[in-house]
Amino acid sequence: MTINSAKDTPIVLETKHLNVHVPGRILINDLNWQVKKGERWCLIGRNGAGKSTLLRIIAGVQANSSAGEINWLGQALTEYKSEELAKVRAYAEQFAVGGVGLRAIDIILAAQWPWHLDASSSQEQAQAALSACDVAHLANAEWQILSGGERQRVSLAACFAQNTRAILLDEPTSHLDIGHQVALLNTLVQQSNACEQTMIASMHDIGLIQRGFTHALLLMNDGSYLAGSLSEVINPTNLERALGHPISTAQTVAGQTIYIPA
Amino acid sequence: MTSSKTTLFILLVIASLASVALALSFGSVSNADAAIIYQLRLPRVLAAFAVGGLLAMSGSLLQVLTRNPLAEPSVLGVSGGASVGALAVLMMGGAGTIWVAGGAWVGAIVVMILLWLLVGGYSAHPSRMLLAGVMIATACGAISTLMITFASNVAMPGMIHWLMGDLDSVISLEAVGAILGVWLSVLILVWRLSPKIHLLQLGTDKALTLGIDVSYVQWMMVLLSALSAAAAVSIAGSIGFVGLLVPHLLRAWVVKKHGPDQKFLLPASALLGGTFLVLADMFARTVIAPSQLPVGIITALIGVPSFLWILSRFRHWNT
Repeated sequence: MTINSAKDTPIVLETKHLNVHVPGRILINDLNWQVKKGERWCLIGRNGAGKSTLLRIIAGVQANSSAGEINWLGQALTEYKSEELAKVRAYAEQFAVGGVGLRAIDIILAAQWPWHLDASSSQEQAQAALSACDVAHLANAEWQILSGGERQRVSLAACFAQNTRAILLDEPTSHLDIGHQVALLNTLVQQSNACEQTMIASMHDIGLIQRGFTHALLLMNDGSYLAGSLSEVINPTNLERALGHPISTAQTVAGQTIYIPA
Repeated sequence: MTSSKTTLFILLVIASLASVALALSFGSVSNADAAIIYQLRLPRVLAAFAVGGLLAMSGSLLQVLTRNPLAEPSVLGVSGGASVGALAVLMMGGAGTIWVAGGAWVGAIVVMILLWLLVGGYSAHPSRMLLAGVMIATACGAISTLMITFASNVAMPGMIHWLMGDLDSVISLEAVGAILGVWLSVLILVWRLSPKIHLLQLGTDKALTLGIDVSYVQWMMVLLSALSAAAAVSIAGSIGFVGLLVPHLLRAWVVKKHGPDQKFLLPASALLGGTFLVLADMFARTVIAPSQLPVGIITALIGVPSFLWILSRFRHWNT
């Protein structure tokens, strides 16, 4: 179902016949999905459609109970050593946690663990990651006193600092103010262009889809899905099927198409 | 460890040695002869140092494991479980130090597993973990009393003596050697694991994606925190709050500059915990000399207000 726009671009993530289920319910049926280098995918679907579960399974955080395959860079997820997988993909949870007394900078420095950097380059890269996510001023702030949006930006900075081929984000914009939502998507675009990083993010705000994503995976309520570039799969009919609510379009003055609930 | 942390660590080593030297020279007998110092004070001071260090390490480990600033072996019922385990061995007529310590370890691990089952994992909401722990500690207290009530006349004096425990009972050199051995082994194991324990502070999922073998590290933390608490309890009975106070003092000292760096905090708590209990015990045996206070009363008098202070400091705390 994925259109190979550039046949020679390496495949970063591939699933074959993957079923995603929770006890008593199949969420996604027979998912055959290819994600290539530098692509930015958004996952769209209703609450409980399986966006978070899918992200956790491809991240290797949650065991996959189905017989389907997941390959990262052509190698089966199950055959990776965890230290090697840590250099391939980073994952930001929907609700990240931090222990007693942990500061933002500690979280960023900890995320560099897979690379065993020396102290000076470690500090340098950590500061760059914090600046990219507009949280450099919070470096010494304790995680417990950060707001939800500040935590999300620190979590993204930690993913950047982990310096992986792909970044998986579970609703990265849910707590952000509008300015930071747009800024975060711009940062994702810059980062993926500059470092050829692949991004996969679950999103609820359909108004943001056109701001930086290249592809979309729409999860339907009946376990089916649609995957492809934005121009192929994003239209009011498909969005309505995925979200269970009529969707209309509008044009901004700049000529950009946006999707809004009808 | 950066150089400033190394400096702090050297300071802690000096403080440890100084506290031991001070405690050896202070006592109810002002001009003590060598026999009193070497046969009475030295075993007691060394035992106090190891017990304090073990309790502080146990508290530090539990605070990371549960991501709960108030976790501590006596608060979570781990020390209570160790008491029940040790009393069960004494009740069945077991007498050897090894058997009593083994019973204490089993009791402490049973409580750790109970906590895990009751609240659904160690990263459950902090207040649920705390409530479950307080209930388990209360139950352990009741079971201990019950066991003493039903104990045979032969076993009872030993059990009561042990439960009153604390450090004033004459401690054999073998027991001192054993507890120092446990202190050193736990310190070495914890030190080697500390980089991974540090990453566990980001939560289990994040630690997993960074390539940490989370379940192995967690189980080692369960075994080592239970072993530390149990070893401390088998020498000195249940001494509360050292495991709460010492990690918080250390964090307050370094966190602004270095963050909660477990590569420093865990070994440091083994030293500061020892120093703290040596000084508390010195106070306990000299303040109303020739009578002695149980050292647990001193740590509770300092510990309870500290617990309440920490509770108020973390009132905005959520997972």
